[in-house]
Amino acid sequence: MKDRESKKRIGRSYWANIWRKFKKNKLAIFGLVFVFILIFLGILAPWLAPYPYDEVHYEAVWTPPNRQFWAGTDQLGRDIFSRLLYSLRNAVFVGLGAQTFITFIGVTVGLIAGFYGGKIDNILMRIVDIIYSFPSYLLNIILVLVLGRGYFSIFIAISATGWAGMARLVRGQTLSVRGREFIEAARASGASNGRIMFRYILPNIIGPIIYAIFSGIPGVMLLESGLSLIGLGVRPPMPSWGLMISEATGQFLYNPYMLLAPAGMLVLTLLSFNFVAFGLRDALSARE
Amino acid sequence: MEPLLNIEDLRVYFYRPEGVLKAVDGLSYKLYRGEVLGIVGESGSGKSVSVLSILKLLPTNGKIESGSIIFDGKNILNLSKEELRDLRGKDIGIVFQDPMSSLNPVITIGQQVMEPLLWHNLCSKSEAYERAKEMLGMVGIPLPEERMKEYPFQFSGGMRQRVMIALALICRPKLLIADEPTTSLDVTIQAQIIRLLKRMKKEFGMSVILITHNLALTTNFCDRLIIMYAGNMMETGKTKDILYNPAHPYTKSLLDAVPDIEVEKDLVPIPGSIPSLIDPPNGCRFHPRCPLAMDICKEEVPPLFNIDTDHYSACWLHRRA
Amino acid sequence: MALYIVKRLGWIVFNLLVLSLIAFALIKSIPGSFLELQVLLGQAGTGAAGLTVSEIDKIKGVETEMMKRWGETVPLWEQYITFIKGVVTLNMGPSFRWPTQTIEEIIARTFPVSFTIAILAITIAIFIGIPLGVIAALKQNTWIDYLVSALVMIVSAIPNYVMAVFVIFLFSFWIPILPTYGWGHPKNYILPVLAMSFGPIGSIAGYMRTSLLDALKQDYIRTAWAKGGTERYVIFGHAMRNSLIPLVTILGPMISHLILGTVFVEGMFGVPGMGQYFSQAANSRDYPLMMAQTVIFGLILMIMNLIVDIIYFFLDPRIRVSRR
Repeated sequence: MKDRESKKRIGRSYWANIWRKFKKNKLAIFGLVFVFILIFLGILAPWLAPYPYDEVHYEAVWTPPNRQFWAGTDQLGRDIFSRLLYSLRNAVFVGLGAQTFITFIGVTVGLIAGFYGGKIDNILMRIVDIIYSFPSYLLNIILVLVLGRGYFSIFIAISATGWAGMARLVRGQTLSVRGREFIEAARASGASNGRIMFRYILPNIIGPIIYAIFSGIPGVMLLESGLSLIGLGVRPPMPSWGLMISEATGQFLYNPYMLLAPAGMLVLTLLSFNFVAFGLRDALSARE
Repeated sequence: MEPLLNIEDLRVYFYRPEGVLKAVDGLSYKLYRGEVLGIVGESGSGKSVSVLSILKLLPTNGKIESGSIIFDGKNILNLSKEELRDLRGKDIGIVFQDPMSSLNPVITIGQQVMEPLLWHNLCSKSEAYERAKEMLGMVGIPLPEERMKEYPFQFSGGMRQRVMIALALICRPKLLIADEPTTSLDVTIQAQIIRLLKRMKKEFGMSVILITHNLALTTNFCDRLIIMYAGNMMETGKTKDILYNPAHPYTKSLLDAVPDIEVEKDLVPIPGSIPSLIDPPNGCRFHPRCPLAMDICKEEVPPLFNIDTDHYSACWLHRRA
Repeated sequence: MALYIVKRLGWIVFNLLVLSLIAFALIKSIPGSFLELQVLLGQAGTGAAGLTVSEIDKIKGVETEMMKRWGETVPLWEQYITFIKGVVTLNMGPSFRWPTQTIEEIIARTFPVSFTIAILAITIAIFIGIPLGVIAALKQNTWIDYLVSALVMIVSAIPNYVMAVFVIFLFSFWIPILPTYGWGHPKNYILPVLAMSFGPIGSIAGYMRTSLLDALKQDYIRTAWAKGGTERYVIFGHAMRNSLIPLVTILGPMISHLILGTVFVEGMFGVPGMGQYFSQAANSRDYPLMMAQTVIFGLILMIMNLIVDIIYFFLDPRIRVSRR
């Protein structure tokens, strides 16, 4: 039975352990499954939606959910369910897209700052501090105004302020890993700085980065829907949850589903990502 | 004479997802007033767990399965929460292994030393302040008046351990438990701490249980020893007897593994490793690593054989036909 | 300590300058121009905008003022200097969108509103969130814990403008006791503050729970039990102190989030705060107001962060003592 013990211990790699702990958290698994479903639905929205998102049905405005319109219709008779799917698509685009930008920029800056230290670190972190102290929502709004409405400007707007948090995190992690012996060893064997950063340091700090990504996506989605709420998101009639919510608030009494549907979907999506993020955090921190 | 502490057939189990970990499985011993008892064993032998049980300070998944712990005539396992609280810190003081983490970093040292007095309503705040200052001086902390206001991070490891000893003894307990007090300290400091403990024992006369994995620390301080392995007691007796006439193969292996400055000899490590406590070996738990293991050792747990006056060893080798 | 504050203030000034420059550059590049103002003035001329005579006069005066500050003939760098000088001396000229009012008037009127809402919201969040978190931690893994944790998670995922609608629905239609729209009475504060505080309640409760649970696992808590502590002494005298300190670190970003978040919520309640004025300004390209508000918001944020850092400094002896 001693052999059984040692076999159990040997086979466990770092990731297998984390995955095992993550699996135990039922909420987290549920969240992960849901996230995949949502992404899947989002990408396939144009093919899955029963109606185009801008098709009006004047004869059926403000209908509650029924067999024809699964989530009812809005004030122009557009099918809410289809609009939900397209909003999901937008949210997935913006959420994953902007977060990708943020991750790229933030990780690069953080690695460089943490790795080189000294003056470079000081300057980069000063820039991060400055950005951190800006009122980000306001700048997002301004940037969208400057760049005009549309996906790309939302990406740019959100990433322009969002990378700072990621950079700080990555820098901190880099600093804690930088002193370890295997980095010395890599350097001694002639690895270039870039190689050390990306092939040695980065894989060792990827845990917290993944957590930051998963907890950042809800933030990005909230930003996007906030922008849509005040009329600066994607161009209508292309829907977005924020837009749908703002259209629905005035009409809450006529058709409460107009509000509940996008609000509910938004919350569900955010929750799923949050569950995954919580599960990740527990799995990563309780390391033996 | 009535023993101060009487432990009988103590079993402490931990309930883990992998299974039930039998950390202490049938431990019995007595401690008399004024005695210094050393409990020696490797990590995982159950030595810490056995004393933590005395104060019921086990982590949440630990449970005292069976057995009895009688302190000063009272059965600890039957005490109410209030009665137990009354014992802790006042009649029984405990010093933990890691002084770095055992003191609250955001509360002053003075406050933390005063707390046992205040929490048991033994005196007023101003009197507690004076006594704490006095205690810090006794444990060898210079300028106690100023250091009372300082925080743990401003103290070195050895100093922190002295503070721990101070707060464990400030209510003049009948029993002091020192759970590996020197393990996380520098070697030079270790001797100082043991000397301090000796001095305190002489000053206050309480009984002491010293837990350590380092036999050398017990030589000048402990009256009696208990050698533990994998949750069971292997040997017990007067310190001199055990060190010079070890009876149990495990004790002998421990002594063989200790370098001797006078005699040049090979260091003989004990082969193998500590067994799993979830699925311990049958019979004598040491048998997989014992050079003298016999067939019966694999099947039946050896009882304690009386080898000499006050010297017992749990090994089938001592069985007379 | 004093030196630290001075240094931070220095950086705040620097950051604000950078912010103002960026805001100026960006806002100036927004496509579109003065047009709204011309339209408004044109309307004023025909009396269509419903303005009084004195207001029309004021607007005529405004036009010259605008030309002086923002006209196309004025070079950009000079516009910037005027802008900065204006912010510092609190003389920022009239707003495009509301030409009868100067920017400083608008800000002076709207800022306290938003700020009050944000501060009230965070205060409520602290007073409700911390006890909730503590209860959840102490009753860990019982139904109370699960209930609180579940509520906390769900509530913190709902954005405040959605919460706003629910709150409106709940307290104005279902149980019609509170006014939803309109301003002037303390009663009007209740719903917006409520809507904004749910998110922070969730975050604070969640964080407090984790923080307290972490603290309770520590060795020094075991020492406290071993010294004969009661629940009161060990949990409230020891563990709470350790767990409250890290909580302060999330308060800073949270306050910022709240102050900025008013942008989205004020519209729904008709609250005349800075947030609503900003989003309306954005929609009508009211550059001067936007620029000024950005800088003011930035200043508030930076000062709040500084205050939080100072509080943290006083709370954590490890930082306080070693700085001497």
